[in-house]
Amino acid sequence: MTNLTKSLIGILAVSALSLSAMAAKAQDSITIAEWGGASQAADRAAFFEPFTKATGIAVVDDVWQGDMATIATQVSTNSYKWSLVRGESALIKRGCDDGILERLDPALVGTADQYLPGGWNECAVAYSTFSTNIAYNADKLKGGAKPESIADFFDLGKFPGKRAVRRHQTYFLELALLADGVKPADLYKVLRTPEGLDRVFKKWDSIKDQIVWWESGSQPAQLLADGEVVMSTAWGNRIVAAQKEGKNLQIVWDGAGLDYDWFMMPKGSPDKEKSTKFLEYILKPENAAKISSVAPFGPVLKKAIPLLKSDDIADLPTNPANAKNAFAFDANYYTENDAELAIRLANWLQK
Amino acid sequence: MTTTAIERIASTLVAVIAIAVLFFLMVPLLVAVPLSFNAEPYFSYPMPGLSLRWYQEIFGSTVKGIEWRNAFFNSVVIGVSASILATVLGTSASLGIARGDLPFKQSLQAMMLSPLVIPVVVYATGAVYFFARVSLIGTYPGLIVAHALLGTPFVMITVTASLAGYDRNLTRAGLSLGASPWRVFRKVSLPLIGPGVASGALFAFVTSWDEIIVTLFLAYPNQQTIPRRLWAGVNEQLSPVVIAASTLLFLVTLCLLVVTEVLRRRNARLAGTL
Amino acid sequence: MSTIEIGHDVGAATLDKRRLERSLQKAGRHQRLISVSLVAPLAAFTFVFFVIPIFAFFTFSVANTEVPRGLPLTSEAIKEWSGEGRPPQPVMEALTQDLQNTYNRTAVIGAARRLNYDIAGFHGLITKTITNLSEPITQPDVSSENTDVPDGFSIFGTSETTTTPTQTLPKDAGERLVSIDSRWGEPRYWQAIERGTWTITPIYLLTALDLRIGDDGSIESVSPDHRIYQALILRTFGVSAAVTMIAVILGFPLALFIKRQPANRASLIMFLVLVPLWTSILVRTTAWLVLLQGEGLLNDLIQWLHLSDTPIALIHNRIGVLVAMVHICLPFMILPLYSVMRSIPPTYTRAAASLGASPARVFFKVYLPLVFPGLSAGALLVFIMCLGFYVTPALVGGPRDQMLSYFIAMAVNRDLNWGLASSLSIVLILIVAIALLLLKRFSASALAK
Repeated sequence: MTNLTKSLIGILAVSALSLSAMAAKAQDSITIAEWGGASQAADRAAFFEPFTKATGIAVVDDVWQGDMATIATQVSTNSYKWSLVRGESALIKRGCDDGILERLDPALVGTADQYLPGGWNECAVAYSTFSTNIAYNADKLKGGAKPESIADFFDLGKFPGKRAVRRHQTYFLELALLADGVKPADLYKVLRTPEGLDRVFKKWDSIKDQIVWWESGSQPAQLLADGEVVMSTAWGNRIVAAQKEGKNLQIVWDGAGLDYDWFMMPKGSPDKEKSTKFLEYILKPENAAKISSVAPFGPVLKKAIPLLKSDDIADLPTNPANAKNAFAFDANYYTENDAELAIRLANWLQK
Repeated sequence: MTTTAIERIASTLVAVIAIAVLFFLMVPLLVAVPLSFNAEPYFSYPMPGLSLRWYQEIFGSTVKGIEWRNAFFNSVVIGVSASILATVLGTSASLGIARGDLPFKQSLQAMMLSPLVIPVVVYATGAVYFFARVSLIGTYPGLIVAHALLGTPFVMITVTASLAGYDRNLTRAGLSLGASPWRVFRKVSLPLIGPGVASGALFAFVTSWDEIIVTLFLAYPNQQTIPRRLWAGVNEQLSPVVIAASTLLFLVTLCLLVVTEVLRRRNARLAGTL
Repeated sequence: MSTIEIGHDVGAATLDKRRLERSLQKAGRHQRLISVSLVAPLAAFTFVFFVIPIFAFFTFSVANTEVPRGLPLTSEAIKEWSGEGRPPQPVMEALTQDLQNTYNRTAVIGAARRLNYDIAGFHGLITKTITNLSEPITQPDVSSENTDVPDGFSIFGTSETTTTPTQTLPKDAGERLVSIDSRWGEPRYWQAIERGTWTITPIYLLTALDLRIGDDGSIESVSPDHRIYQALILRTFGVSAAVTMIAVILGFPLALFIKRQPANRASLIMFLVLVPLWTSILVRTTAWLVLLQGEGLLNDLIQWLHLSDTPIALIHNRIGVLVAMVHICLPFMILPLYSVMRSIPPTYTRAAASLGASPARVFFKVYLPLVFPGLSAGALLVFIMCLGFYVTPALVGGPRDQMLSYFIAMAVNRDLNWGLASSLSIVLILIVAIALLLLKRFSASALAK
């Protein structure tokens, strides 16, 4: 039995040692929560790795799905999981209004005229443009027809089979209205009326039993590649990444939803100093421009734009030559209505 | 005789259903495991070729490989620590309960076994708030404590079971011969209930080793465990790497199962001889 | 040790009965102290890290602190309001001040979120009012910037920014609020604020049962398109019951079969039953995902056998959930069944058969009652386990296959609605507790036999 005691003590000692080793290792790092998959890999290549090389501060990745509640919990309990969080305009606007985000040093973020329109906020740094689209797998389509418009997404006669849709209100609302004939410019005017929302859910009712819901950004490419669905809503860059892996996935450019990705900092974050270094790093024009060379994201910083290769600009979804009938997400609409929209969608899903 | 004919038909039917059910129990593992050796990233048979590339990804020196090994290391550290904590606390409590003179025995026992029946999500949600308030959220000690809690009922059950066949006169004899209580515990009690303690420790380890819900709620990105990586893998992109990692996880538990089986038999033998 | 001392005392002539009793008591106390100190560490551990967190979490189901914290002036002023008609001027004034307090913004939004649980749309109403009350600040002019935006980025110029109405607002606080949104003229919104000042609130528990406080203050059902939790509770119950039934139907023959095998083969089969039990739920669920996918192995098999030409949906629906859950629960059914079956001497059934009972009669009248304790224990164990399932439905189910656990996690992670999460947890625990009581009664009555 003394052997057992000895080995127990040994195991305890090893555990204690490794725990302290881990604590030491964790010191010089920041944790950035992103959306997983290809877009996270792009940020890692464009920003995280060069940043670590330049400063010695390691970047630990985590994945989240846009649940602002998790940031609010971290702030209110003063226990911080994330140093910086990637999110779209509606999220950072809401977080800033709710007071759960750190207000950044004006000297760091500069002024609105240094960014593309709408790309400035006191609580976050916009650093890349991205698109939400519908996509399909050209290898799995039966018959000759290919989806060309938003309306095809709802056309079960022409394209029978399941569709994958993100289980979230963004793009869900706009997609239905665009397919219902609303002009991109009028989208949020219609959505602000009660009838507008009814129209959205009525449109989705027509294909409701054919929908597979996705929550993680990597799922659409997977579902399309596996042939589980014929069409899916997806973040454009994920589809492009799947193309690079040799999959014949295609984007339908009609009705693209455009937005910025930002980095926000939970209020009271103990990593503020290190995170600020990271933000300073990505705000240098030569660094900011790097994102376009690894993935179809465009910089938001105006000074970075002339540094892009013309090929890279041509490939960007924001280019009107690519995105026809496109619209930009209205962060204000989502800030005002998000709580109600989330509940309405959740209830509709249960019916 | 018609009766035996009916009996024969009935028992054949039972055998057919039983074998089908056994097949149902084994088939997902039997089918999924070979796919981790598929040369192509698809989940279909026949496989175009065999390769170890998915295992290479786990054991290789790429960022992913380092992350997998890191997660494995975390799982082991957390699992072993949680198991030790659960075993010490659970064994001590079982010994105390077995003495039979504990006040409020019923309610105390019910409380200590409650982690077994309370749905884990309810516990995990409550723990988020509490552990954040006491600064244990996102820490190794926090995870170890929570995992140990989920494991203690198993320790209590196995140790109590092995104590059921234990003659308390042996302790009394040891004490009356002048041995210290600690010495009696080590030299007399522990060897007898040892297999029960060990299988309780194994149960506690496996509980932590497989735990995902509490981990999802309480762990921070630095505390990646194997189940967390699997969860992310299934949610994100179901690649054969996930199947390969699952296979490894499966092999570890299989080994542990064999160990407990051996322990159980030894326990039964000891109980038989005493 | 103490027993020996007592022995001496008995031998002594000056025997004092009381002293003996005291001494016995002392010895008993000493022994009990040892027992208590052995149990105390785990009891304390469980109490601190398990019981306290869960009970603290349960208090969220009635906690009602957001409105007084976010709208302190309004909460004070609204006490003077009768509850009828439009509240008096000071209340309106107080709300205007509370909403303009930028230092308290996080708490104001917390109050807005809390009020939104009472009346849907309240959150939007408050954010809208805050925006309109604040002085129109000089927003960075964006439209003129578009000239130097290159072609590939011009799309962002088309998005309209906030259209803050610039007309001067009325001086009177009440008029001003109503001119921002006419809903401020409706008493029910003010009644909701008043309910927000109560010490505790019933709204979360009511919501968990699809009930709400109506405009007249009575409890009523929510409108049909908001009714989801009753169905959810029934679904949790139904799925658990279905899995239990299937587990009984599949587990019984297997347990019977194992029992009839020679000892060596029986322990081998038991080993095969234990392997899936010990395998991680995640691993097993992953395996089922691979098997059940539209282009998965089972569908390949179905098409190869020409049972169906198009893939059958087996995943992201109820079928997938049931299959994966039965697979996980089955060993827990087989283990107690088998151990009870093993303890039944074959002489019982043989005796019944030799007395002329038909095999069916022997089975139903003799064997089944004997097996019943194991059957009921296994079934209730499986049922209780199923009630709390989270991982498997989340991975292989669709939105309409999720159970209570999923909604508890969702309420906290997505909606920050701790009150609802707590209320749903209480509902879940109550169902578990009822099942446990049944289990206790069944096993007690089985023992009594």
